[in-house]
Amino acid sequence: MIFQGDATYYEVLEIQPDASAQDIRNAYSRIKSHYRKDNLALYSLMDDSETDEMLQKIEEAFQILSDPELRRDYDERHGILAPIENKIVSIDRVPPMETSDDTDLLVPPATDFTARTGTFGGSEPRTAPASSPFATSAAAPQPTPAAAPPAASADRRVLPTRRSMDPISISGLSAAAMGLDAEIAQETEWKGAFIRKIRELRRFSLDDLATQTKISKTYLNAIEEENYEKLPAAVFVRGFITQIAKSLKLPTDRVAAAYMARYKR
Amino acid sequence: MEGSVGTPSPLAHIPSAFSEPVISHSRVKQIWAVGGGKGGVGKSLLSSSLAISLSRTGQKVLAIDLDLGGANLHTTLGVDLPRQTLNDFFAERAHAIQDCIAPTSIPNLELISGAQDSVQVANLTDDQRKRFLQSVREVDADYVLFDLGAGTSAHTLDFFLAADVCIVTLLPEPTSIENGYRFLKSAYYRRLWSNPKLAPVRHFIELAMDAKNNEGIRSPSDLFRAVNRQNPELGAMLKAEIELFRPKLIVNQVRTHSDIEIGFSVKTVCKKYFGIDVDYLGYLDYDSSVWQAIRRKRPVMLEFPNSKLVGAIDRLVEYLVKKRS
Repeated sequence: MIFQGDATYYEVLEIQPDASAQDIRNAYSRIKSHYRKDNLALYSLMDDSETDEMLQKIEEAFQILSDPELRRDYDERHGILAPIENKIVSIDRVPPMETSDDTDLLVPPATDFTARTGTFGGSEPRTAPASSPFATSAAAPQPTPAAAPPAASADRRVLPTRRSMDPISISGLSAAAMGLDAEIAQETEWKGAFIRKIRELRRFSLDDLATQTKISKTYLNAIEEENYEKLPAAVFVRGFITQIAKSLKLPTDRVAAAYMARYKR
Repeated sequence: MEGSVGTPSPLAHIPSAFSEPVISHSRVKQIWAVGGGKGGVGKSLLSSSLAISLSRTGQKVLAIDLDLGGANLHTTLGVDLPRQTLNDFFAERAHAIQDCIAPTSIPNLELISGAQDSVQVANLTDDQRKRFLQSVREVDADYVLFDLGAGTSAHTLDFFLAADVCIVTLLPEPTSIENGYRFLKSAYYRRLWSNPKLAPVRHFIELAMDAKNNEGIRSPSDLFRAVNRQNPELGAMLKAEIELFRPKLIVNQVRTHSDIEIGFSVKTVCKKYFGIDVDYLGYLDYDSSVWQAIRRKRPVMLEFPNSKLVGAIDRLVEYLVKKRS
């Protein structure tokens, strides 16, 4: 690309920063086809080495942009505003909020079934019998105040039922974890072994981490063992580290910077 | 490149290039130029067809055959060689360009034919080129169409660059594509070289123009990097100038789907290689009515008015005119 410093992955694929996953896939096939070896349109302008270089860039662009996490990191690093689309995540991938409030975002707001509604004319609480046409059966499943969801109470700290993978809520009370927090605050090197220690203390198995981050166990192992031969290009590894740090509730920038400084050497 | 490096350019005064807008009393709205760097790609066919189509929308059109030494436009338009041609203008036998304007049988369409004598006009002087371009902006017409010659000589490139709409046409064949890129490359570097603001880095541009230079400046990328390294401000100016160059592309004699795709590929490759936005206007199907019309020395637009070609040309003209406003 001519203005070398400027070529973003979006420019390589000739798409807008808010391109959808489908757009990216389409652009990838389309642009790639322009650079296939037998394309007449390249004749006399680009030789094989230039075409190969171009194809490599296209591959790289696709690898990064087709992975939502890697793409987000890339966008952040390049000052590209997060597209609205990315904020709509599926139920399984709600990222843990970086707050101390453990309220599960997906639990519906507390509903007090004893509250007077008023909107439907009558103001009887639902437990009122007989007048309702559905109250004929003795076993009518009317919610009673006693059976209301625990969130009816003023304290909204509900034990999350779905978030078994969220380490903080499980380990928040353990003494070891308290000590670990101090260690984390002071850590500067972020060696693979330390990351492993954190992962284990937080009771994350490699499988868990692999599932949550979508990074293969091979790579996770290689990162923790600092086995650089087994790892891909720096740009990917940086993305992995950031992902791991996020999952382990570590300061992503610091961890990534420290680890990658070693990786480059 | 033949003789194009040392000759200074008359472009400095051309409104579309680097300076102030056209003199307000000029009737000429736009100059369209059709080039392509190779004989037989359909430049004359395209320019004559565009001229006819445009004239039929009520615009007054002047078609000028700039294929100095290979003038064919009059033949494709179906008129006899006019009494006075560009040869006379350049030799100053014709007093003014208006003296060379000849009518065609088509209402609203006039023609200036290219010179027949190749020896004399192959190497125009800067003054002659300047005088020509100045006169052209003052003719009594709404649109002026340049049918450029084959090749990448200095005056061909300068005429191409002086236009408001620069159209490159090529066939979906390796030889034509090769020449098309050669033409684009030459026009591209010529444009940069002619910009007075880039005079301090002219030697870099000249290196880039010379494909076999030893300084490692082989591509526009290399050129940009070299300029930027020397002077980032000039680098920015170079980039800005490059982004102003927006040639249009038409692929001619299309037979298959992959022929059509060539236009898209050329567009993408030009963006990556030159950093320019080529507007792929469209394509023209291979049409046997073309060679038949040529045999008869009649314009295909008139001889085969129901051919697909005519529809495509009309749409092209509509698009270009709309784009102007």
